[in-house]
Amino acid sequence: MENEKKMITLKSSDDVTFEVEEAVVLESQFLSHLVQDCPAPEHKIKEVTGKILSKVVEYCEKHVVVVVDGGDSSSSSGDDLKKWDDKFIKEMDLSTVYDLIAAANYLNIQALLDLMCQRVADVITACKDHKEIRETLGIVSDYTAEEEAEVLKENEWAFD
Amino acid sequence: MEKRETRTKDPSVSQCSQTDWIPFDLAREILMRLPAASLMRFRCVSKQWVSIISDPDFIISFTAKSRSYLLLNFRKNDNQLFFSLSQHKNLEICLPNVETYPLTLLKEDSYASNSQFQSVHGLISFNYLRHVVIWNPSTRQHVTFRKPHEKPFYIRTYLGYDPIGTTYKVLSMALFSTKSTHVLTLGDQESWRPIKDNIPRRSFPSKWICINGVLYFFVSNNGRAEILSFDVRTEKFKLIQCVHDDLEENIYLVNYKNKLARVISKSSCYELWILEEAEKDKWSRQDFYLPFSPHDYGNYGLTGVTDSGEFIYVSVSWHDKNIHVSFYDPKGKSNRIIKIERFEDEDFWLQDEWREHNWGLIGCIPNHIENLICVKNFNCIPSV
Repeated sequence: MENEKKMITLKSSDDVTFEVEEAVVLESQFLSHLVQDCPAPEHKIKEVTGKILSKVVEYCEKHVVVVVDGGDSSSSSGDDLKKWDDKFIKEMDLSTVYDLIAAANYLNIQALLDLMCQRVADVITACKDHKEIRETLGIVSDYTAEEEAEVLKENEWAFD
Repeated sequence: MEKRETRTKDPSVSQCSQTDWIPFDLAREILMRLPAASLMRFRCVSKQWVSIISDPDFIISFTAKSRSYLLLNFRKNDNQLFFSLSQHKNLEICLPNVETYPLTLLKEDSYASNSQFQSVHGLISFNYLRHVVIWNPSTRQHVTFRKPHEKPFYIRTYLGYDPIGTTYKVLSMALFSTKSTHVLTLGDQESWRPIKDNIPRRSFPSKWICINGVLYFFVSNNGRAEILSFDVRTEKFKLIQCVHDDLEENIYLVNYKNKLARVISKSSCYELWILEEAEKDKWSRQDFYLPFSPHDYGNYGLTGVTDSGEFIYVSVSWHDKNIHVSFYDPKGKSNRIIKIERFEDEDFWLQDEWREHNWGLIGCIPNHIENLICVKNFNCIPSV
């Protein structure tokens, strides 16, 4: 190999380390600035746990490979990536999705944030009513019974 | 109308027990991705959700992200029915998401049927003799204002939107007189204001459209066809000369790729005159030859043009109980057909003993977007 790929080590809040190529790190706006400003071999990310960081790394590694291949690969790579994304989110429980949303927001990885937000939006859309949403997402209502009845009446049409 | 499919319970969903709902700004990101009907349905989840959805910045971003929809408007006496289907090109084969918007018109007033309907930045206005109704299909809310003139037969109103000031205005024009031209800004504690208008006209413009903050009207001035424009922001009128001013032609005003265009229907082709520069009365012309007779494709002829330049034809088969919508792309010479089916409303398909149906297609509104703005917050002093 003529040019060796530059490796960077990321360390999670609970001290799990991940050795990744620099290109993978560049998927994150936050990390790419961090790497540029502070060229240390290891970076601690205090806000993200090892469990979540492993998901972030998995996502970024998959996406960076496709972008590099983009030049000569067939158009199906976009479809393959979408299939991979679908599988990636299907296997995840909602609390992991929330943690990933927070991590994608913090690390500034727009595509991952979009994917995760859309996942929650799809779960919400599939719910039949507000009670099911609260139950599914673990939201505690701040309405009184009277207030809730009133809002429900105003939007009766939407439940057809 | 569309029955929600039986959902298979997603195993991952139930695994989440008592997770705290995520922070406010991220909840906003998620809610932004829901369709308007879901947002309205789920207003009762929590007050936090309502405060996110009602925030003016959220409303602006939500509308900016909205897809374009085609609304088909059917009417039977005092009832209206709106079918909404996405104009998105990937929907070639799938069943469209069709929704109905039943709306009962004002009982105490008569309907002034001159104007073609437009969706102006997500809102639709209805013209009555004495009133104007502003309706938001996405929230199903409407508000009614009295027109600013005591001789109602001579007044028509038109809705416009100024994208710079993010403001809606209703323009009221009188037949024969330019002295009774008024504007109502839609907002709280607003009133009809008289404005300066020095462009005489002899007929009501029945064809109108609002594009990029400008209302365009097709008018006849001393036998000549002209375009009257009204800048919604500056409230100034201007006359634009048409190159082709023959009044006899069958003319539509359309939004063609964000520009005003006049579609002139000829026997074998459509002439599309696109307004390139309003200041210089500069038009460009494109001719589109159809590979079929328009009547082969829809029993209503050309009913509209999408903002991406597709020509829309609608065909209702009362016998087979379905509606076909054809989107013809004259540049790519391709046609995609969306079939609306499974609308199982007995009354809609009913034919009387003369084999005539009661519901008629009265409007085809392309490029409608979803908007969450609360029209109930608009008022006009003195009130109705």
